[in-house]
Amino acid sequence: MRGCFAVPEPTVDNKLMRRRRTFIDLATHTIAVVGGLLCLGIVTAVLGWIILRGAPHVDLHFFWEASRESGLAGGIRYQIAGTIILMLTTLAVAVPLSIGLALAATVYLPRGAARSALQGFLQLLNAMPSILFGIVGYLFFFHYLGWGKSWLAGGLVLGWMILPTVTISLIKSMEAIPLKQIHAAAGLGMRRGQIIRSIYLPQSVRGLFTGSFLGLARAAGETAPILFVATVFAGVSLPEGIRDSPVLALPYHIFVLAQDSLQAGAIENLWATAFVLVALVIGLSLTVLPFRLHNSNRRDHA
Amino acid sequence: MLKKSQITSTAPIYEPFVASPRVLLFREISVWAQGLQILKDISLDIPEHCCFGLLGPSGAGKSTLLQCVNRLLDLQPGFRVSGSIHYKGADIMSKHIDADHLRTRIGTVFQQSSVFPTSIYENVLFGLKRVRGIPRAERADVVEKYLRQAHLWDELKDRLKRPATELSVGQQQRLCIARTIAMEPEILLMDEPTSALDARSTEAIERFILSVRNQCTVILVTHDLEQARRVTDRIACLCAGEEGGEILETGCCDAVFANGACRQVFQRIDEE
Repeated sequence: MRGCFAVPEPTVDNKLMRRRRTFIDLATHTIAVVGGLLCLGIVTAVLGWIILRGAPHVDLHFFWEASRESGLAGGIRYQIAGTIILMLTTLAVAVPLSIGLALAATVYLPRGAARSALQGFLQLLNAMPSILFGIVGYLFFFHYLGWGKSWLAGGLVLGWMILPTVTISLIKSMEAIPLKQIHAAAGLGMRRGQIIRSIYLPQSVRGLFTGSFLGLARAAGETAPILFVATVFAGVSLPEGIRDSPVLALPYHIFVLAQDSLQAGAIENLWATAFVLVALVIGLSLTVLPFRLHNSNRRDHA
Repeated sequence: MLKKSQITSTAPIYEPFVASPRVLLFREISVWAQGLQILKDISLDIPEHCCFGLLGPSGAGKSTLLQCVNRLLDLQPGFRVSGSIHYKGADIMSKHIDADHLRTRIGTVFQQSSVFPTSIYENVLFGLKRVRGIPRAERADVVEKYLRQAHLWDELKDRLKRPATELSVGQQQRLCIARTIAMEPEILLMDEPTSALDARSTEAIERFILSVRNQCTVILVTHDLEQARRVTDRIACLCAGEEGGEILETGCCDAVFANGACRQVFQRIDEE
């Protein structure tokens, strides 16, 4: 039975058209599947490789013991401690700065040129190669301020590096707040600072978490920015001061072990450290997965 | 007092609030947005404790006029305003006026309700707590008082701690009203508050408007001619002219509804 819309009899043109449409449909579908599988395959291969090679060498002693013989023996106790110190400093630097920047970009700066300029600047900062952060940090802290290698310098450099990630994520969640809610609050006579405290900040906590953890996941694995300013390979434990207090760190440990990879013991410790670092980074990324899923759901429903 | 339905066409029209003191004086308000004129030379006197209706077709600038009174136009870029609005001897449009403080005295209920993502209880106190501060011990009473006034208490008294976003649109709008009158404003601006609501909420809000005039002056923008007849004491009819919205006629409902030019405008509103 026909419905209210009459379906025209297929003509030659129509058949051609239909074939073309089917082809386009099939092609896009294939590209999506191939791309997805390729991505999944590469990630699985790399992770599988690291797990296969690294996991057998990881045990409690490996976590707990300090490294010996230039990393050829022993564990990675102080590398883990150093990475945690660097991460905490990075957060302490990036979070307040990014809240300030995000508020500037959504509340304080006038709409138009100034806001676009700030967003453009953030994109630019995001695209900067990490080695540049390392070199700028080195010139500033080492040559200009006369510091030695320092955990604080490392945290500051990493903080600057992840600043755009955190800020852009925050800006997105602040821009998602309905304007009518801001107007409603203003209509009650609330001042700008009060609107920020009771509307903007509470409603962008998710954005802050997402951005911070993604930024941290990146910072945890970076070698280049801390190479010149914060880390040494061996000979230190926990920092005792600020200016001349280097730390050990996981990515730098991997970097140096890879250079000594011909020596016995280096390879096992290299894979084991890589395993710990990857577990740390994946752990940080997974922490914010619920937030990210929630956000994308919200977008779908909007 | 005569009922409006008892007035015949031959009887003299009763004009309420003619001798009342004025609370707001609009003087030659013109508004431009990106070079386009939205309002042209609006002059109006709003009597104290009346419900003043603004009627007109879409694009006549009714909402823009309200946003001049509470200075919310300041928050939106691209607007230019000339003229003055006198309130308690001061010009609202002056740069020296503290717009935030002004908005605590002139409350606004928007066309689209927007509750804050927190509990019903906290929504009522949202502005009051932050702007004026209220002792913990008085909070529950205040919430009850204003929810009652917004005809919402009976529906919600058992779930004050539930998120406000769970409420129906009509309940959300009444919650917005409760939140606004909790600030005890002297003037209440209502921008088509019932345009998207069910009959029950609309009726509750109209009852609220009729009762709240003892406390404050209401300026109501509405599309609904029958609603204007039911709740307003005086109305101004705006039309969308070539140089932005203008006032055609001001007076009590019967006088304005009797005006030929206004009737044409109302016909257009009905068609919309």
